[in-house]
Amino acid sequence: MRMRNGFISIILLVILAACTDVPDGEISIAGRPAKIYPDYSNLTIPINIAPLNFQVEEKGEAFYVKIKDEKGNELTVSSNNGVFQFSEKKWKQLLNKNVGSDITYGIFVKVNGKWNAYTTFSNRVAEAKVDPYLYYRLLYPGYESWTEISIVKRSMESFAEKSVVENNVVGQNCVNCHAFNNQDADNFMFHMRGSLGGTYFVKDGDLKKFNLKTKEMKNGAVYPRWHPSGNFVAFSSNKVVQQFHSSEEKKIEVSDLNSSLVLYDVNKNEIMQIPIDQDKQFMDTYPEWSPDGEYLYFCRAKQIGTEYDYRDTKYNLCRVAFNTANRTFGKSELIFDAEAVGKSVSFPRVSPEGNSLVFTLHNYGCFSIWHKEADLYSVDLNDFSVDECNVNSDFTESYHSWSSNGRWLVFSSKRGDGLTARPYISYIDTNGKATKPFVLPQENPRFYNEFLKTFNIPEFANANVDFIPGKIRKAANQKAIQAQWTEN
Amino acid sequence: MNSTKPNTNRLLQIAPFVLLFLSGIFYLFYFTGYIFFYQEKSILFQLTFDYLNEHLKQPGGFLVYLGKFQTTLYYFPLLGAVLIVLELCGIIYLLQKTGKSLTGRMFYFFPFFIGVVLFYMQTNYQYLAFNNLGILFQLALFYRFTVIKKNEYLWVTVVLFPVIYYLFGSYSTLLLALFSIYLIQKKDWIKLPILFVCTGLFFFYGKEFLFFQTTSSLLKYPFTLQDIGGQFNVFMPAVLLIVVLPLFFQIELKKISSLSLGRLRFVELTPFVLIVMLVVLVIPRIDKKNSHYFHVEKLFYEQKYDEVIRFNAQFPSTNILTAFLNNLALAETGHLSDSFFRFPQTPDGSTLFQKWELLGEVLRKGGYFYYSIGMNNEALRWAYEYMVMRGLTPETLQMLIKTELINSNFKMAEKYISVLKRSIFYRDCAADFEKLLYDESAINNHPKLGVKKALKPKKDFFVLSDDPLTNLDFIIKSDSTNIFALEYKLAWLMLQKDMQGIVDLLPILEKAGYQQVPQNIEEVVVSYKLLKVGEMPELKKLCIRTETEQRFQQFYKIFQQNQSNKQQAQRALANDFAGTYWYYVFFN
Repeated sequence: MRMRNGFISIILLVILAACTDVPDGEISIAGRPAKIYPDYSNLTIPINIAPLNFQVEEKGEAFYVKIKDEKGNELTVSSNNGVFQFSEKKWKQLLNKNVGSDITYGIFVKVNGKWNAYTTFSNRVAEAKVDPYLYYRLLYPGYESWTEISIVKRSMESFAEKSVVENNVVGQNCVNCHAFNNQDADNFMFHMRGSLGGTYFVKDGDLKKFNLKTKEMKNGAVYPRWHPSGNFVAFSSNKVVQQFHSSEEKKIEVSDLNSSLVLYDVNKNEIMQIPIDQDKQFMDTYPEWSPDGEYLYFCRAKQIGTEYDYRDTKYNLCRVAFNTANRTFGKSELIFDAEAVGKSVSFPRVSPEGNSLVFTLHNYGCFSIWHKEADLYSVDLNDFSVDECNVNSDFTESYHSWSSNGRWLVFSSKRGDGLTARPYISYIDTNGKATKPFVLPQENPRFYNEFLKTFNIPEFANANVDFIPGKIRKAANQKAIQAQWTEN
Repeated sequence: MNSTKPNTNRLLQIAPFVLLFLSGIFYLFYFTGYIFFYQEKSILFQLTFDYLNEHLKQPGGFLVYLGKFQTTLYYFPLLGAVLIVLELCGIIYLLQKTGKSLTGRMFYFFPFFIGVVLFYMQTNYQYLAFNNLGILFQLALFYRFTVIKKNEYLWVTVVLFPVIYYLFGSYSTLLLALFSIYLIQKKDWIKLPILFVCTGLFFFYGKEFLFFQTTSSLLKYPFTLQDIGGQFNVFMPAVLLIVVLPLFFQIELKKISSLSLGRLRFVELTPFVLIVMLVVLVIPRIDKKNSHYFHVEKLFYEQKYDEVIRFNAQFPSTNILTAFLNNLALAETGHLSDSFFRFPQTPDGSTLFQKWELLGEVLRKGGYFYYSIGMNNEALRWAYEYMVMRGLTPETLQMLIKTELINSNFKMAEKYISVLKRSIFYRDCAADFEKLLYDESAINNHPKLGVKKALKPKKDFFVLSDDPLTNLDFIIKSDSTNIFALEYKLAWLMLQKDMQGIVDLLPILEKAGYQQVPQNIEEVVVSYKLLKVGEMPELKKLCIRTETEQRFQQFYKIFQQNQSNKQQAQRALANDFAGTYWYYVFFN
């Protein structure tokens, strides 16, 4: 009996070995790199990133990948359809052995029984870790309707993905604009629109619903940014209109009719106008705090009139000093005059070290996600010089977020299909220079080719936010706590 | 009411099933085939693990998945009819077997009564497949309990009931009720509370920790009033009857069951009586209006525009959506301005175009108007919004592909094509679209897409979704040679009896390349000219035919002769002039 089992095992092993096609015999040199999807070649990658699975887009009957390091360690995988999904365990081991050095990919494709070797490429494993989680909103990049919207937590170290909030839990209310303070779970908030609408804060470990709109405010609180102290949240308060193009490549036009900035005091439950140049007519939006909390950056355009051309609305980058102790603001400063170069700024994001700010630059308005020409630029906050980030494509690059160590930048890019945004990650070196970005890896490398929803507002976080449906339902059904208006 | 005879005539047991099976298929296939068309076109089943996974996010999703799989097979209506009738026969059979298992006797009336009621509901085109599937599965499971009487099996069922709830959602309550009654009857006072405790705990745990749905949805899904065709007053009593049926089985009415007709016992004949009653009940349920509409819709989707027109001419309909599709067919074949009044129209223009509406059939169909006149982005938007609101359907997805191909957004078109390729019956269609990817010249030369691409607005403007008429003005202003838009505009002006507006557009008509004024427009111009409403514009090529002038004079003469009695005039003119602008003006 034992002998028979052993015999069967040997036969199985032989069969398995026969199935595992590895390059042998004479190997031709293709003389070029293999086409792979997603493009994971010549990158700088974090040591704790999930396996960069990919598909070789070359014709062949068998495929083979050998990833090796300078010390001779190898990770080899065979495939009969060109799809390579690496073992998480082996992948981690390989990266851990190569901190600060390169791993080199050799790709082999068998055509008509003969193996071809493609030109190798390398990826550098950076010492700096990326934050363990990426949060984003998944939704159809539609026009005005919604059915399923969720805020999702994705592990950067594996392919685990979990819903944090789904709108269906409260009957298809719209869930939007989630925000962390310094990637911290204790300071987390999101908005919900609809019958159970309100602004939801994590407070004392509990989820509570607030109504931040007071009768003194023309519009509701929209885009949030936490003050690093966790005591304040700056919001823009916008009146938005959307229109639909009949023939432009860009199908939708979203514009602000008016907007201003408000400050919410989390501890006192008070909301106030941020008093910057109140005697002048501006539209202020997209607040962002400096890491020390002493400056509030924002985007500013001239207030449009009743008759306006949406293409004339140009936002500049400004900042204003903030005194935390008495909640007062100084005079506004112009940081980047985008209007002077015929452009418009949105989404300023200061790096955690405070020496650099990345923003989105586009032709007009402040809804860069619908602007194909939108690209990322950075400002050196020491001399306010502006440079284009080395991450842009011919398609939209828009919302971006820094990792807590300031070495990684995640941003939305529509370079895949022109409509759905995907999170791309780029290493930012100590000089502030970005390296070639790569799309968030997925277990199935064809995932992005088939997935119809968009990744909206990608935010790195150390925090493991984990709301249970019952908690959200309970908070949603509570009466919202009304914020109080204050002059200061 | 029931039989205790062990040697019941086997033929009498099988015959009603055969009769129901054959007559049911005949009825569903020949008379209510539109049900299969409507339901099949309402979903796009995808053969992927992700698609299944999407349905496993909430209790009951698995049942909906099975229902959608069945629905996609309605692509072949005969197969659909066979499946439905098989399920109904299965339900009847299971009820009979359950009764026999519980009492040892054979039952005829109630099982067939339930089957007949479910068949009756099925004749509503909105009654979806998962309803009968849900009932069928619960009865199958319950029958297993009654057959396998082992205590261990019952315990497993009690403990695993939450899994049944997860798979079948609210339909599992049917099994819960049946099982509870069964346990009560058996005086099993241990399993019953444990069954409820297990179910309650799972429900609570799922509600609090697992499922991002409202409590109401967790209780009701997938049951909805809409998905049973609004037949709550029939559906609920039928389900309640199923629940209490095991109790009814216990009652032995010897007097009734011993009634006989010669050698045949009456109870054995009741299924035949019920089937005859069903026939009487369902014949009036053949919905001619919907049958007509869905036939038109089917021809429209197949782009058989001439057949749409021919069918509507042969069988006129006052349904607004039918007229809307017919007008699109007229526009696509270049007959909107010469055959417009051959078909019923509404003065408010709803037969021409639909105003933006986020829910319902309007969103599903309205975009075809914009596609027809070349407003590609707007057609895409309607299709996209429908996908967001209602999920993918074969036609919506094809519209998304076509509009993205026209816009040369090949990456998105490729993505949509990859979704269509995951369907069961639309892979060939996907392959045809695939040939057009990344090939501008193939699209430009395509007999359908090339035409629509050429019609795209030459100048950009913001679309006013609530105001299709203004959009028409915008697009004509952007491209005065867009004959599709021009004919829609003329049709609208005819509906408004705006002769001046139409005459003002004649130079544009000439500029657009018309060699001859279309029939209905010519009738307007003749009225304008002969009634001396205003000045005629100078035209280089276009002229008015004398026979049209003569026809108008003939019309006018008959009208004058009968002007004292409008109805009499209408009767006198109907035969020769019903399809004219003049007839519309005087009798609308």
